Amino acid sequence: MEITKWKKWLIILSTLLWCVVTVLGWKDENYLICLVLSVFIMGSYLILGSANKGVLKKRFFIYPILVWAVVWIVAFVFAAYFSELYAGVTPPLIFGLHPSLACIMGGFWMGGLLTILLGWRLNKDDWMSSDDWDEFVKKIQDLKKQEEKGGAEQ
Amino acid sequence: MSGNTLIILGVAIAIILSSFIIGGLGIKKMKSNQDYFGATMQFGPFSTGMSVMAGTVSAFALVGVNGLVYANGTSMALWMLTSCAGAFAMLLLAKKVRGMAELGPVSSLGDLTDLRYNNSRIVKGFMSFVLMLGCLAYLSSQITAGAGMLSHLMGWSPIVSGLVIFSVVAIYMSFSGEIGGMLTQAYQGVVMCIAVVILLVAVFVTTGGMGGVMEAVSAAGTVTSADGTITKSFSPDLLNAWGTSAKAVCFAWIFIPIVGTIGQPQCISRMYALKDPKDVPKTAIINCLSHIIVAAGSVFVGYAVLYLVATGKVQPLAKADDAIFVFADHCGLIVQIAAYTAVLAASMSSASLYLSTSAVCLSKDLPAALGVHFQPKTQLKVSRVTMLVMGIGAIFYSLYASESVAILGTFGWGTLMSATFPPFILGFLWKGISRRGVEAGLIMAAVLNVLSLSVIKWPGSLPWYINVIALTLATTVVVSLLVPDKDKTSVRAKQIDAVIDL
Repeated sequence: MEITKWKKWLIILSTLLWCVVTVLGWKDENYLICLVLSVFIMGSYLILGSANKGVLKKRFFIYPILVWAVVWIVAFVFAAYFSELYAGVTPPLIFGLHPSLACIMGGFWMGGLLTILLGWRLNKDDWMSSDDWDEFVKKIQDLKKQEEKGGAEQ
Repeated sequence: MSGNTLIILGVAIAIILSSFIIGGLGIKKMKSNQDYFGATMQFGPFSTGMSVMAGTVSAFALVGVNGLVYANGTSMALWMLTSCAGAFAMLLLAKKVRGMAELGPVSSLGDLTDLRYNNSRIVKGFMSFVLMLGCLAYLSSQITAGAGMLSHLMGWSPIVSGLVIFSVVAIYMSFSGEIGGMLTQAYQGVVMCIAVVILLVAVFVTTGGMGGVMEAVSAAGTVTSADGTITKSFSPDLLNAWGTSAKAVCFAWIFIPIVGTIGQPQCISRMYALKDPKDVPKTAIINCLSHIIVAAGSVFVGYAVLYLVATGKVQPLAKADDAIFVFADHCGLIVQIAAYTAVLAASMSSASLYLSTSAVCLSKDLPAALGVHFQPKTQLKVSRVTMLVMGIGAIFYSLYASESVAILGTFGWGTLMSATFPPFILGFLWKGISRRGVEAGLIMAAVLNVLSLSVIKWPGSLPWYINVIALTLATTVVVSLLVPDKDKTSVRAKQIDAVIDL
C-alpha cells in the first residue's frame, strides 16, 4: 500500500484524536472510548513508522498492526465489561485472576507484546531489509558527493 | 548492626563498586567526543536493549508502583504492563534516528534537531531547556529514592547515603560519559532482572498464586493495625483491571507510558548508539523481555503485600512506598538482598541517564543554541566538569531543598514527552512537519509546562501534562500546515527525505 499521500492525513487524524481523547478524558465515564481511540492514535504512528520508502506492505499491515489493534480493543472492551459485571463481588477466576485483569494481562500485556514482536520478527524485511539499508547509505553518500561537488564548483 | 544488615550492605557496596569499575572500562572504549556524548554507533543489541530498559525503569517502578498497587489495586500496575513500549518506539523511530546519524555527527538530541531542522536555534534551545527540567526532576527523584533506601537500611542520614551511592555515579559518568553510562546501565539491567526473578519466586511461594491473593483480599474486609492507628480496607475491586483509582487515570496509565517511551531521551539516544541498524528488531526483543521480568516483579510484589496484610501476616502499612521492603523483610535475607539490589540498580541506572542528558543539554546543546561553541577539547572538559558538579550538586539539592524538589517533581515523564514529540515523533514520521511548526510547538510546550505549575488548573482527573502535549501537538501540526518549509529541492532536503522515507 502506497501511503505517501496519506501521511499528512494520518498525522492530522492522530493529532485530532489526541485532542479528542484529552477532552473526553476530563470525564471519568469516557475512559473506554478514550482507550479505544488511543489504539487508533498509536496505530496511525505504527503505520507511519513501519512504512518502507512510502510503502506499507499489506502483510505487515495485517500482521502485526491490525491483529495488535484488534487484540487490544477486544482486551479493553472485555476488561471494562467484566469489571462492571463483577463490581464489588468476588468473581469466578481465570488462572487465579479477576476476569477483567485476565483480559488486561492476557490481551493487553502479553497479547499485544507478542503480536508486535513476533509479527515484526517474521516480516522484518517489510520494515527494512539489509538491502534497503545499504541502498539508503549509498544514496546518502551520493548526495554528500553531490553536495561537495556543488560546494567545490562554487 | 545485625549480621543480615551487614550482608545487605556488602552486596550494595559490591554493586556500587562494580558499577564504578565497569563505568571506568568505558574510558578505554572512548575514542572521540561523539563517543563521550552519545556512544554513537558503538553498541550491539544486548547492551542497547538492556540500557533502554534500565534507563526507563526507574526506582519509582520498583518502590512507587508496588506501593500504589497496595494502596489502590491494579490502577498503577497498568503503567508497568506496557512492556511493548520499547518495541513500539523502535518500530516507529529507530531506523530513522539511526539513519540521521549517517548524515552527520550525532551525539545528542540537539544534534539530531540541527540536522532535521536546519540548525534551528529555537528548536534546539527550547527542547534542551524543557529536557533539562524533566531530567533534573527525574534525577532528583532517583537520588531521593536511593538515599532513602540506604538510610532506611543503615540508619545513616540521607545526605551520607546519597553521597555514598550517587557521588560514585557522578564520578564515572563524568569520566566515561555515555559510553560508561550505557555499559553500566546494561550491567545494572541484568542485576535488576536477576534480583526481580528472586522476588517473583518469593511472591509465588508466599501467596501460592493470584487465586490465593483474591481469596484473601475478598475475605479480609477491613484490617486495623495492633495499635489501632492504621486501617486498610479491602475489596475484590482492588484486583480487577482498573483498581480503585479514577478510570480516566487508568486510561492515562495505559496510553502515556506507551507513546511516552517513544519520546524519552533514554530511548531516542540509544537508537543512534546501536552499531548495526539491522539489529533493531533483536534490540526490541531484548528490551521487551527484560521489561516483562521487571514489570512482573514490580506489580506482583504489590499484590503479595495486599495478601500479607489481608491475611494478618503483616500489619497495615503506614507508608505505601514501604511495600517492597515490608515484603522483603517478611521473606528473609535472600529476598531482602534481591529487593535492595533491584532498587539500587534501578536508581543508579536511571540517575546516570538523567545526569548525562541534563549535563549535555546544559554544557553543549543550550550554549550552542545561544551561539556559544567550544573547541572539541574544551567542550569535553566543560561537559566533564558540568556532569560532576551537577551530579554532586543534585545530591545536596535533592536532599536539602525538599520544597523545590517537590515543585520540580511535577515535571517528568510528560514534560520530556512534550519536548520530544514535536521534533522527533511528528518530525521524523512526516516531512511536512516544518521548522516553524516545531519551533511554535516547543515554545508552546515550554510556556504551558511552566504555567501548569501554578497558573493553569486543567479540568478532570487526567494528569495535567496530557493537556499540554495535546496543545503542543496541535500547535506543531497547524503551524506546519500554515508555514511549510520552503527548501524542498536542496541536497540537505533530499537527505532528510531519504531518512524519513527509510
